[in-house]
Amino acid sequence: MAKGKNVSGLNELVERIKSADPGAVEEFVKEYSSKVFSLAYSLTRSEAAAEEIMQEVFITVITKINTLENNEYFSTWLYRVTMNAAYGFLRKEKKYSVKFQADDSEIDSAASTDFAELPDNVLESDESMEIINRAIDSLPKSIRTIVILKDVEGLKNEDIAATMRLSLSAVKSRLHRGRLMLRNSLSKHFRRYA
Amino acid sequence: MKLEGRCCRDYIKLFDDYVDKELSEEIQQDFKEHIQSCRKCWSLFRTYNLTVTLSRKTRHSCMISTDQIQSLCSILCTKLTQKE
Repeated sequence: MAKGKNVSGLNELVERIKSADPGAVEEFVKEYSSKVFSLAYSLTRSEAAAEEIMQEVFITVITKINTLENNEYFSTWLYRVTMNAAYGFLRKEKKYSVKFQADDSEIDSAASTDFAELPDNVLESDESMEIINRAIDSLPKSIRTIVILKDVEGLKNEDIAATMRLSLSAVKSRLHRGRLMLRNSLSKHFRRYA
Repeated sequence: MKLEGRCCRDYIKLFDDYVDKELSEEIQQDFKEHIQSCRKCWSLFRTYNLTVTLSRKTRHSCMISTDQIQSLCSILCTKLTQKE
C-alpha cells in the first residue's frame, strides 16, 4: 500500500474521500482492494474470509476517515485496520492456533541442509509453497505478521513499525528471527532432496 | 577493512540488513569476505536469502472483478450518504 500513490496524490485522494466524493471512493477501492484482499488472505488463508474482511475494512475506513488527523498515515492506518479485522475474524472463528512451534534453533541450523542448489521445480512446487505457508502460520503471531507484511506483501520496515506501533529495531529483530525460523522449517522439508 | 572480534553469530545477525541493503559499504565488504570464506555462514546465508525469495512467491495473486468493485463502491456510497 505504501507503494501506491505518491504523497500529494494520496493526500488529495484522502481529502476527497473526507468530503464524500463518490468518484474518490471508486478510485480508492480500485487502488487498494487487491492489496487489502491479499493481506487479509495471507493472514487468514481463506478467500471467502478475505473478501468479507475487505468489505469490512473499506466500510470502517469510509465511516471513520474523518478521525484520521494526518493523511500521511493513511496507508499504515489501512494496513492496521486490515490486520485487526483479520485477527478479529480468526479469533471469532477460533482459527488462529499454533499447532506446532516453528524451530527457533538459530545457530545449530547452520550445519543443516543447504537447499539453495535444488532445482526451481522442487523449490517452487505447490508442495513447497504449502510448506512455506504452513511454516509462516506456525510462527508466533507478532513475528508472523511482520514476516507477512515484509516478505510476502513487500512493505518497508518503517511502514511496518508504524502499522504495528513498534520500534524499528523491534521490527528488524523479529523479522530476522522469523526468517531464521522459516529457513529451519524449509531446511527440514528439503532434507529428503539433498 | 576487517572488523575485529566478529564471530559467525555476529555475521548471522547482519543477514537481514544485508538482504535489505542496509549495511554501510565498509561492513558490507567485511560481511562478504566472511561469508565467502566461511562455509557454514555461506550455506546459512544462501538458504536465508532463498527463504525470503520463496516467501515472496507465496503472495496470493488476486484479481478483484469489476462487479465486486462496483458492488463494494455501491455499499460505500450508501454509507457516505448515511454519514452526511
